Amino acid sequence: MRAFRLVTLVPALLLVFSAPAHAVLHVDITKGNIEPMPIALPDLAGSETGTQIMGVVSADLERSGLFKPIKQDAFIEQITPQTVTPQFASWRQINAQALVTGTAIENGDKVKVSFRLWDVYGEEQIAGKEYNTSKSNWRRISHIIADEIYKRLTGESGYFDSRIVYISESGPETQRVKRLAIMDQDGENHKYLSDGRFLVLTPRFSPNLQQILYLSYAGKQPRVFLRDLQSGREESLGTFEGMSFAPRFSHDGKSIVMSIANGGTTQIYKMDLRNRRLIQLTHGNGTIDTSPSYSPDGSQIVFNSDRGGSQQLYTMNADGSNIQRISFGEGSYGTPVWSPRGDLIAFTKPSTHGNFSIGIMHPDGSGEREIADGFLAEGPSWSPNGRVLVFHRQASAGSRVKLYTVDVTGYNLRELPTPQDASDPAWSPLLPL
Amino acid sequence: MRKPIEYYQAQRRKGLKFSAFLHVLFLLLALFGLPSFLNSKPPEEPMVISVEILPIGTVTNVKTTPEQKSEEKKPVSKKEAPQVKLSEATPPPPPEPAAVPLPKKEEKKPEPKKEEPKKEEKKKAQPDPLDAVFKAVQQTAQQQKDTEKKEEKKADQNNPSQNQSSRFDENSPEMLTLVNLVMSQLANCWSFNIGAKDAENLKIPLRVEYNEDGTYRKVELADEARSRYDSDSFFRAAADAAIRSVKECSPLKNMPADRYKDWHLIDFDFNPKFMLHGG
Repeated sequence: MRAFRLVTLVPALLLVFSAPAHAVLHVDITKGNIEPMPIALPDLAGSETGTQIMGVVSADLERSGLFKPIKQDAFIEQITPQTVTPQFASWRQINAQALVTGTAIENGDKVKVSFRLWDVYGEEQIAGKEYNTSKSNWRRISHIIADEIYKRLTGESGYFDSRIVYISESGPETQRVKRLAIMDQDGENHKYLSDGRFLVLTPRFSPNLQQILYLSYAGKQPRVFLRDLQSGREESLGTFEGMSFAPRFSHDGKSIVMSIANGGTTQIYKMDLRNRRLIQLTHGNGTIDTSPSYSPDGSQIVFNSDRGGSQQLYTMNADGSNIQRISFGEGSYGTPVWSPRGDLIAFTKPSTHGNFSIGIMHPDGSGEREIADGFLAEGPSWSPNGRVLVFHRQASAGSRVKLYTVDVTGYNLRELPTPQDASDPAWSPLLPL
Repeated sequence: MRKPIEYYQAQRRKGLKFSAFLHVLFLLLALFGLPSFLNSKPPEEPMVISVEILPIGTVTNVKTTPEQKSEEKKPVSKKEAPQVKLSEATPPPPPEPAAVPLPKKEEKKPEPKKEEPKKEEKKKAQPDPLDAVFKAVQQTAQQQKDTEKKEEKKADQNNPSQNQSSRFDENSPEMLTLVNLVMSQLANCWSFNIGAKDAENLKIPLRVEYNEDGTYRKVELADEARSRYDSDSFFRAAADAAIRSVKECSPLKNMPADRYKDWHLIDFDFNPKFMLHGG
């Protein structure tokens, strides 16, 4: 009996003398800031290659507009090859939220590169990798590291290890020379793919990055050509009645869509690259349907058409059924291109004031907004992660035509330097590792 | 050898007393320590509070003595008022021997009185060391109940319209002041990637425990969000940014020490929806 009373007494005492329950304060944080994240990027220790690598990483991340590399002369701690764990307090002192440390050890013509990404406030490593490659490949390793850092801190795949193909322009307006050109997304490793004898337009990457589609005026009439980037060999996709143009690959690279103009009408066709079989997708009566672009899953196509009386945007199933108009704003719409994320469609829109603008909208036509404009601004192409657009722009009449990039939010408009004037850019997918 | 009948009777009385004591104890706990099931009011939905920096102490629920009230009537500049209020914020004065609580105290007397004769009889029959412990527990419970009653009574006297059973009203000016104080600080530290895919659905719930000096002791994602943290890279990046903002904004500044019990545990919802739609 006494034991029973003791057993019941203890919990009773606990209940009596326990602190009275308090409600938890609830706070909604609905405002913040959209400033770039301060990140510390000391050189990779061990060799001069480490310095070069972090220079490219820093430039990539800063150019994205989402990161703000801290100047190295502000660093308090010096990272050495022997540094195992950073002194986080010293990095917090300079307001770094993330830190990258690592090494680049050279061995003959090879280099072993390793990096670690640290959460300075959490005082823990959140990413890290090691690469072995030839020293000549250091620039590509830089972009790959930048992609890893970008992905871990934003949740989104990176886009730095990619290329851009475009039309390089030179000469006077009456005798314009247009050449096919290719470069890394930061403008490095620039190369011409054609000599300018024939006019070339609208280049497009294949999903496997081995081929480029483009329109060429070689021969008597403009035709779509396929060029192998490795061998340089190019071939015409066929001679059609009329003029073929605006080609794009399907998401799996096995077919292309393009427009063929014939008899006063322009319709959209699909060609199977394996057997060159041509299928007509649109059947407008005297309409001009052009600029087709596949959705990332290949189930739909967006294009522009004047079937409603003015040039507007439409979507349809990949087999040409279920055509739906999605643009209803003032003015006309053109050159639509579906984001790799699938959530947005970018387009060109001539304004009523004489300028052009680059806009985006959701695939159902909602959420339309302008993100860049200029005297001339057109031909948008998405980065591999659907976060950034590249397009060509002429700021004012008579000024140079240049390439620009802009974030999908409309922030961070930047010029992408090219040796000469540039137009019709196309962004490749991420390069395969 | 068989025990006398008186022994068994005494044991029975002990059992009855013990049972009565436990019944009273649990009744008291049900009345004051558990949520009231008789309250027919539906639970209040949390309000979305816009960010406004209110001067601390312009309106307050802090209970003051007559002397403090006379001091407050003196003109104070706007700049000095927040500091003065925080430094002068005092805990409620000790219970006064006022006549108000007495009637209620008298009402409660019958219950203890019932037990006293039994205890006296018990003492006469067979003194038990545990009885002293039971008596002390009972008295402590009674004193705690009386103190809580007095505090509620004083709150009612200052704010008759206030719900008499509520001691944590999130809509009270004092609580709103606390909320706004925390919001204004965290808003400066929280960076958000507005271009993230499906950004408006990246609401991050965190629970943070704070020390008395305003530094965080523990910050963690709410249970319901953990599986999404592991599977959704966008959500993980957004959650990391929210957690980083709590750590960067540590310690919280100008938090009233006398209200520590109200802000030592905070549930945050980092919601970018209003930033995206200009709310």
